[in-house]
Amino acid sequence: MDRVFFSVTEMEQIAARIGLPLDDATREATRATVEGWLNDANDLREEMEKPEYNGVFPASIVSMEEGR
Amino acid sequence: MKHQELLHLSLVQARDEIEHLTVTPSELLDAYLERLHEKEPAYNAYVTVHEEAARQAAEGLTALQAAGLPLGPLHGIPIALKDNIDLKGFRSTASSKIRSNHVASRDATVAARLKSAGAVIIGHTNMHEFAWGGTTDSPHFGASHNPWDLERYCAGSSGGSGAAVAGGTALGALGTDTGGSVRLPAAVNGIVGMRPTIGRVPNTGIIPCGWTMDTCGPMTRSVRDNAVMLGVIAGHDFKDPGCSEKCTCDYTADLELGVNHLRIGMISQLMHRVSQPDVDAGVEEAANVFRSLGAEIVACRFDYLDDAMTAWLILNSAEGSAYHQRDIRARPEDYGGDVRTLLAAGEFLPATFYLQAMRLRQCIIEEFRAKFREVDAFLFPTIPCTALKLSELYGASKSIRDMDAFFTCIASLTGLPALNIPCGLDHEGLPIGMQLLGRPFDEATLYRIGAAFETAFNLHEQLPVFR
Repeated sequence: MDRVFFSVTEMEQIAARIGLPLDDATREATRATVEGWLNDANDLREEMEKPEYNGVFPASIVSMEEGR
Repeated sequence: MKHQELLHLSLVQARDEIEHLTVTPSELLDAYLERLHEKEPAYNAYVTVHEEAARQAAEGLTALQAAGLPLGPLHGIPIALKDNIDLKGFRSTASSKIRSNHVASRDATVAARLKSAGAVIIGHTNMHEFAWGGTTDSPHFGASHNPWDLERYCAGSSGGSGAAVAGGTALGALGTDTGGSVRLPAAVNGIVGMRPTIGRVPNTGIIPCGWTMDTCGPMTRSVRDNAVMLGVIAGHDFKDPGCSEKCTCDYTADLELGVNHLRIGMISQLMHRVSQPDVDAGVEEAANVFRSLGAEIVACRFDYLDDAMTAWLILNSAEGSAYHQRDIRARPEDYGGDVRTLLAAGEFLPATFYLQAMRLRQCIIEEFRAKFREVDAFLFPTIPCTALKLSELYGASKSIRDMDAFFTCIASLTGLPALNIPCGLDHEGLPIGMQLLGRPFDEATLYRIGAAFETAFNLHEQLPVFR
């Protein structure tokens, strides 16, 4: 499966579609942050695709009480 | 008593002096306000000081005492609240411009409980904007400065609370912790900070940062003081659906039991990886102290911790961006540049990545549940570094700052309680923090271990308030 990645153009198109303002002051910082996060998140996704994680459900809203 | 003597009393000692009529709540408050007026220009620990209301509260408490009414466990104690905790009639901005005009119409549950216990709320402390960051370098209210060295940061996000307690402008404070925001500032300010089990302390009236990880906890000079404060704020609140119905306990009851025969786990893969050498050495020395006190140190290895920081970052980013989704569109210019960037970036994480993070989270929770059959608590650093210079926050030290939640995110993901205890000084005389991680709702054992450590190794009198 391909790694999820957004180019600058794609990021700006998505931002426009979802009404998220990206101005000159934060555009580059946001791009760099998204790139770094997606890189790590793709690594995590690849880890979670391994067979040993089959059957693992997402944690629900975390409660430390048994049965909740 | 002279003001300096009053400032040197612990929370518990001060409360006892008030009970025995050797000092009044107003006298104690005067000492703290005098210190605050002297030091606050340098610390910048507060967003708002509630001087007049605090004086009225202290006078009221004196009158209650004179009338013979029973005293609460915090009777007359000056306590500070982080600026994301509502206090009826006062501004709580979360150190933001977005909420600069927000005046609370009711108390957060924790604030109400503090007041009922007799605390005098002295003010709201500075924080990283909306708790989304670890420097407490606010574009709207300025940076808080570390009382150990004013050129250094207080960490965050509860940095103002950390500075106020270490510097002696409050006797205790509340912080909130989503990824380490109580423990990190506690570590670099050389104080005790508790992140309670998720659901142990109600979040009602506290501005969210990451819904599934948010907690509120006490920050104090000593373990005993911390245990007293947790006893006041813990317990069920029907207004918070995430709050546990489990009974609380007297968190001071086990403080003198020592650590003989307790098993303390050291997670080998967390050591010598991202920390400054002084930090690793301080925590290893703490392990030796525990051995000398009779505890068994158990080497442990975990299978699922390598990606814990990534999982935490995905969760906090997505949850934070969801909370701010409206305001980041309507008033983007009112956010500081760093928080605005993080909130925008969080909108680009696919939901599938959030769920993969939640799956890893489940693995980590189950692994800790299993390991707690072998040990009573885990020991590892709180933060990889000691207090960084403010001038270097965005320069050479950035790589280590990016890893500041490397250790603290574990409790955030698992919901387990974690306690920061000062465990030494680095080669520049700055405090090193160690973290004790415990079983669900077993804060009492963490306090027990922390208290034993304090008896053998106590930084208490080196705090800036004693200088």
